[in-house]
Amino acid sequence: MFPLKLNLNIPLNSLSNKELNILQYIHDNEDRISIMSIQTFAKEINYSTSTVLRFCRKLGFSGFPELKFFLRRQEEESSKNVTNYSVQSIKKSIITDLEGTTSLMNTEDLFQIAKLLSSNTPVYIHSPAGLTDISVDYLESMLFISGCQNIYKSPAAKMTHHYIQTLDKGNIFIFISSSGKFESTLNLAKEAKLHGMIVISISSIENNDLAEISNYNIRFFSKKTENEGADSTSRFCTFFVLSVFIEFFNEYKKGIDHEIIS
Amino acid sequence: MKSFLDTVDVNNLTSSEQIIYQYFKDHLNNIVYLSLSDICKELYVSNATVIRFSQKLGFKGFNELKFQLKNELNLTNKSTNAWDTIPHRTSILKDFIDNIDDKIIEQICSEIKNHKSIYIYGRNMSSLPAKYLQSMLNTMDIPCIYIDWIDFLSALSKSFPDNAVLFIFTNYGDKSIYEPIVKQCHERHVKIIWISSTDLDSSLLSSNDIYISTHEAKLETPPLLTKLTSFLLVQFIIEYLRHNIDKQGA
Repeated sequence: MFPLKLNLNIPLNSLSNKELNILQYIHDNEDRISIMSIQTFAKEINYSTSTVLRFCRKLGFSGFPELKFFLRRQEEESSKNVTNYSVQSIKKSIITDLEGTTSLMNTEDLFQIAKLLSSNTPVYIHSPAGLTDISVDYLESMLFISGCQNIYKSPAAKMTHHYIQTLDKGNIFIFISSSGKFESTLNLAKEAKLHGMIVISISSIENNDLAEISNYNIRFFSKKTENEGADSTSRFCTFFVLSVFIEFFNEYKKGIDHEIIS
Repeated sequence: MKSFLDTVDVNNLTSSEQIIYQYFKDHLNNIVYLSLSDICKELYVSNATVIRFSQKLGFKGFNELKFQLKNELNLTNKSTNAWDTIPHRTSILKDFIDNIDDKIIEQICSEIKNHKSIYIYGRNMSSLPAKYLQSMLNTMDIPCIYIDWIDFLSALSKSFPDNAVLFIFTNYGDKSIYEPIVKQCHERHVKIIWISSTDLDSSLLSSNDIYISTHEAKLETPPLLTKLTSFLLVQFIIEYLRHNIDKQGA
């Protein structure tokens, strides 16, 4: 979890795309960085050494060596604490993810989405296969239990494509992607936007195109893990934001009922 | 609900301000979530009109008015205040995490590692944590079988192989439904790991089985169990397995 390890005091959106890439690379290769020179590092990520230097300065380090030193010290500290991967350390890491996700959640967007979904406009949820389908099913069932009508799950990319082509403008499309970079989902979201649909996305905190093109967005923390190509990224934070949203949504509907009665 | 809006003298307002006034009164609970431009779009008035309106009521601007409304909402009507949802949810989960027994997670993981055949059962809402566990185990090269029908489960329970472990995810775990199945499993020496959202009838299980209740409180309207704590347990099992398998590989 890089924002914690590097303890960034600057908002992520003040970094340029290049700089975000560098950050991502450091995050993925923390242990290797501490033995690299700035030249090898720059070569590896295909940026100039001055870009790297500017990046270090932006984070508040005097230069690349200080960043390396900082990472190494963090590493030593963490290896001191976690000699054995215990349930306790899992507790800690899940709680940090949870807290991070909580701090990201923005009631304005939740409110707007709740308002949209209670307006009885048809909602199409794209189901891209794999683990994300479980999140899609979760959202779908909870919306039904909350008394929503007009929820349609699209089980395949071709079907979603067909919906986008044939439906009138202003329908709601929901896309879930743990990375926000899954190409087929991303293309469909772009297409939906182009056809005048309202796009809601649920994706990770990382700088991602899906979040950028969608009208409304719910974000969460996610760290990519896989086993020889098989995706095993934790979906817990996705489930968490979805359940919080549903609770929020029901509170919102209660509020509306309240108004109608009074 | 009483609010400062009731004390406003309507006669002093212009016609468009009266529209705004009426809108605020009608949507008291939700104004706090709306931005200035949302309201303007809805009412076809300019930003400046809303701000002038706020100033007429004695506020510096729209935000100050919103702040006042929010405070009144907090005081008078707790149930319709959705602002608290997120921190409330987070704190419940954190309590749950703190109370997870390390030993049980370790025990479940060693059962997974030591048993050849793994079956996972869950239907309706419980199918989701069940499927999550199955997909995750499969990506970690631990083969397992997912059962989503109670009829399948009762058929399979007659022919489970030796050295099998059965995960059962339920909301309520009705005794009359599950008793015959559990009995058959016990006859075949199947280890049962039962994760239930509410408390089970303890006579269902033998001392050899593992049972975790996730003590989930139901949302009132709609009657919904979000299963989040069950997902959380699955996540713990997966993380623990992942790190301990990796270590063996290295």
